[in-house]
Amino acid sequence: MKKNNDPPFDAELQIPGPDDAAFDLVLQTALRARPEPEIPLDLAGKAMRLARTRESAELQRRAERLARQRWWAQMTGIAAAVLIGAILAGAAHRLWTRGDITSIAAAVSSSDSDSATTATSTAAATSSDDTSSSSATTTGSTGIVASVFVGELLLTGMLLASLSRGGVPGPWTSEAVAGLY
Amino acid sequence: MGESVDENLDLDALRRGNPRAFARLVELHQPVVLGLCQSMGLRGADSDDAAAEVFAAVFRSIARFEGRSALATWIYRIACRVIPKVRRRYRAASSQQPDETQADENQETPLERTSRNEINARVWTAVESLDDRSAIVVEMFYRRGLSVEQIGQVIDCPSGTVKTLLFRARVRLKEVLSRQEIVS
Repeated sequence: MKKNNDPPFDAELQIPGPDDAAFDLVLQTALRARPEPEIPLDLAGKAMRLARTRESAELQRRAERLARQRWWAQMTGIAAAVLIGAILAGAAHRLWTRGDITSIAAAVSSSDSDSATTATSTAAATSSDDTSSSSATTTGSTGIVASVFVGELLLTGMLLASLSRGGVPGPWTSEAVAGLY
Repeated sequence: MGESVDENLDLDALRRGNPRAFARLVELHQPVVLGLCQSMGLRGADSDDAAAEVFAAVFRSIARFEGRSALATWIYRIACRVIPKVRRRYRAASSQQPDETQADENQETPLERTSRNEINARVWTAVESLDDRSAIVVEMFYRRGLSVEQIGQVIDCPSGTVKTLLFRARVRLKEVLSRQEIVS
């Protein structure tokens, strides 16, 4: 049967008996009689060299990790730009097929002619209130869509320009990404 | 003037990585660190390498030493973490050749010729065969004369645990030494 070496519950409170005292003395005498190990030459120098080697290895590892994170951040930026481009292309395609873009062009050209004929058309406008209000609503909504489209186009342009310089705009810098790890 | 810690060491100089201050620190603490290596069965170059690793770790982290404990306690705490790692590495690398070298050493050592010295040598070997924590506790308690509380600070555990470790180490040592008929 395996002998149980676990101490009793209150082992640390036990008062050692004469046997224990004698055994303690044997241990103490033997261990204190042990010759001190030979002191190696220039242990401090060796330790400092070792510490510096470890430090430079650590720095190199950190630089490699940072480069890897920068690469991933750039790839993420490019993927985001491609995604935004695809969304914009899809939106433009939808606008084109619905005829919104032609209506924007028509609205722009009609506003030019409107300004020229404002004075003469005042009387006629009173008779066609319904028609003009519906055309104004259409012009307003296409204006909003157009401005969002242009805004997104500008943002994508900025993102791509920033990527071409090797950086990622906003919070997606390599340092910010590094902070996530 | 720089902040002074025990043993007249200039902590500011140590934090700046001053080689002279560091050499002084090593000089003061190397006997205990090497003693710990010895108690864990490391010899010669292995012991030197382990001690160098301990002091390299001290050198790298001295800037973070806040002085909440004695510098010696802090260094021994690092030693207690680093030496067992080195010991395991060497044990894995040279799968248990120490038995042979130990036997040779025992045969060659003049100390072996007298019974008192034979008892001592067997006690040292028995201590080396203990697990890391027990070897550290026995070395610090019996050889260096540290109190249970001080050992608790070094190995970062309560005094009760140190007492339990000491108790178990004593039981184990008694068992080993009784088998060799060193103690009854």
